[in-house]
Amino acid sequence: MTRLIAPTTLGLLALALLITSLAPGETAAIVFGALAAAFPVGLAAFAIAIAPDSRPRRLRTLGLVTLLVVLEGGLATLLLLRGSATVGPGGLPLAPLVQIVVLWLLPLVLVVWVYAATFDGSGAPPSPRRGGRPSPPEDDRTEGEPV
Amino acid sequence: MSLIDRPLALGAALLYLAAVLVIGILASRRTRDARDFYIAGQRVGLLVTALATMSAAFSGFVFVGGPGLTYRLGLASLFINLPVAFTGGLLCWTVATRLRKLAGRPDVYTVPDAILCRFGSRRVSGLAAVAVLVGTVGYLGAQIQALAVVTEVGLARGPLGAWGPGIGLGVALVVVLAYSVGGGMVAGVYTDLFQGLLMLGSAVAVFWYAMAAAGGPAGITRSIAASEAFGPSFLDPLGGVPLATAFGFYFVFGVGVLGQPHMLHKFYMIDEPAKLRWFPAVLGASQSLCLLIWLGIGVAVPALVAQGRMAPLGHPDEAAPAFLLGFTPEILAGLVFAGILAAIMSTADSFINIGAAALVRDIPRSFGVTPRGDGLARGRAASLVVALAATLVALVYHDLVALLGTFAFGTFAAALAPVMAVGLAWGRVTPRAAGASIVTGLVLNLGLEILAKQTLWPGLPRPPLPSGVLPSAVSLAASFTVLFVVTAVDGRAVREPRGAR
Repeated sequence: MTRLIAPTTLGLLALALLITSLAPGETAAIVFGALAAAFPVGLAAFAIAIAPDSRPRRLRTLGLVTLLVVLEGGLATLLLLRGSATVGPGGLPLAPLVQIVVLWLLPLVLVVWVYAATFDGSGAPPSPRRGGRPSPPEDDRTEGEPV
Repeated sequence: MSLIDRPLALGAALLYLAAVLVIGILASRRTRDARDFYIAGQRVGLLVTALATMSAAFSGFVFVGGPGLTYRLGLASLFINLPVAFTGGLLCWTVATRLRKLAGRPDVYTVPDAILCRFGSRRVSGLAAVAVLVGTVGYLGAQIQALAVVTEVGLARGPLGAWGPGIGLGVALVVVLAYSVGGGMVAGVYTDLFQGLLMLGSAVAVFWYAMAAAGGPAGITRSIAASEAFGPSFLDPLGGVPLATAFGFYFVFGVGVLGQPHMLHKFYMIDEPAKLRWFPAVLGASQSLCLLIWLGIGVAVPALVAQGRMAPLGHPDEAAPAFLLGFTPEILAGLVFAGILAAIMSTADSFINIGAAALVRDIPRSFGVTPRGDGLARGRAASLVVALAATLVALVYHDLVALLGTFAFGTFAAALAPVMAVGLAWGRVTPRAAGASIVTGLVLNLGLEILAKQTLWPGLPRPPLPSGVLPSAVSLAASFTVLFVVTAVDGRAVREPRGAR
C-alpha cells in the first residue's frame, strides 16, 4: 500500500509545484515555497518506502517528519518576519538568524544524525582491488521492475 | 591594486598552479585504462570522495558568483545555500547506493551508462547524454567566466598591460586541461582533494577576516541597514527578491542536486559502500564551511561600501577579488586567490571529464556506434573539444557568473533529477516515461532561458512566466510531473492490454 501511496503523493506534489510556479500572485508563491520544502522530504520518504530494506523504519520516518516540520516552520517564520525589524540575540536581525539556524544548521544536524543512525550498509559489495575479479552484477530490481 | 602589486600573493597563486600540475602528472602515471580515466579505478575512500564531491560541486559559482549575487540580491541569495543542510542525506537516500551497485557492472562509468543499465534503452541513455553535454558546456562556461573575472581583477594594471588578464586566463586553462586530459578522474579526485582542503581553509580564514574588516556582525548589520544603496531589505531573507525567486532557488538547488552528474559520478568511485554512512556528515559540514566565503564577503562588501571604505563595484562579480586585494593581508589574499582558482578548476576538471565521456561514449552509443578499443585517447581529444565549446559560451554570455551557473545547474536538474531520483529505483517507470521527462526538462529549460536572454530576434516573445519565477524551477516541476503522468499512463496500458475490453 505504501508503495502506491508514496509515488501518488509525490506525483501530486510535483503537479502542484508546476501549477503554483505558473500561477501569478503572492499566495501562489507562498504555496510553491511550502511545496518546495516538502518535496525533497517526500523524495527521501519515497526512496525509503520502495527500498528493498526490511529494517525498522520508525526512526527514519520520525526523522523525516521532524525535518518537514523544521523546514516548513522555518519558512513560515521567515514569511511572518518579512519586512519587520525584529531584533534577535546579539542585536542581530531575527530573520537572517532564523534563516541560518533553523533552515541551515538544524536540518544539517538532524539529517546527518538520522542517516547515520539508520544506515543500512548491506547494499553493494566493495570494489575489487586492482588485479581482482570484478564484482558480480547485483539483483537490484525493485518492485514493478520488469524481469 | 592588482596581484602584480602584491608579489607574495601572486607567488602563492602560482605555487598552487604548480602543485595541481604536479599532482596531475603523478596521477596520470596511475591512469592505465578507461576505468581509471572515468571513475578513478573505483578505489577512493570516504574523505576523498566527499571532499571531491564538495569541491566539484562548489566552483566559481560559489567563490566568485555567490558574493556577487549577494551584493545584488541581499540575503535572499542564501536560499541557494540552505539546501546543503539536507542534500547530502537526500543524495544518499535516493541514488548513492543504487549508483554504487551499478558501478559493479562492467562498463558503467557515467550517468547515461546507469540509465542504459536501468532502462535498457539506448535512446533514453542518449537523451541523458545530450542533457549532460548541454549542461556541461554551460557549467564549464560559468567556470571560465569566473576565471576571467578573477584574472581581470587580479592581473589588470600589471606590466603585461591589457594582455595580463588574457594571459592569466590562458595559463589557468592550460593547467586544468593538462591534468584533466592527462590524468582523467584519477588526477581529478586527487587534485579535488587538495583543492577541497584549500577551499575549506581559505573560506574559513576569509570569513573571519571579512567579519573583522567590516566591523563584526553588529557593525555590518548597522551599516547596511542605514545605507541608501542597500537598506534593511538587503538583510531580509525574503525582502530583496520576489518570493517566487527565493523559493525557486530553494527548490532548484534542493532537488536539482539529484541530477548533477559531477556529483552523482563520485558515487561510482567509492571503494567501500559501507563508508557512505558518514558521507552526508562530511559533505554537509565541508559545504557549510566553504559557504562561509559566500556569506562573509557577501555581507562584508556591501557594509564596506556603505561605510565609504570601498568604492561601489562596477560589476557585482568583482566583490570577492576586490575584497581580497583591498582588505586582506598579502599571504591570505594569495591563498584565497589560490582557493578560488581551486574551486573553479576542480569543477572544471570534473566537467571536462564528464562532457568528454558524453561526447565519445554515450552519444555515439545511442546511435548504435560502439567505440573500439580502450577509449583513453578519444576521451582526451574530446576533453579539448568540450573546453573549447565552453570557452565560446563564456564569451557570448553577458551576465553574472551565478546566473549562468544557475542555468546550467537547472538544465541538469530539470533533465536528469526525476530519472535519477525516481526512475532509477522505482521499477514501474518505463523507458518512455524516462525519455519524456528528460526531453521535457531539457527543452523547456533551454527554451525558456533562450527566450529570457536572447536579444538577436526582438520579435520573439518573452517567456510566459509570472515575475520572478525561475525557468529552471518550472522545468524541474514539469519534468517530475511528466515522469509520474507517463508512468501512470503506461502502467494502465500494461494492466489493460489492447482488446481486453
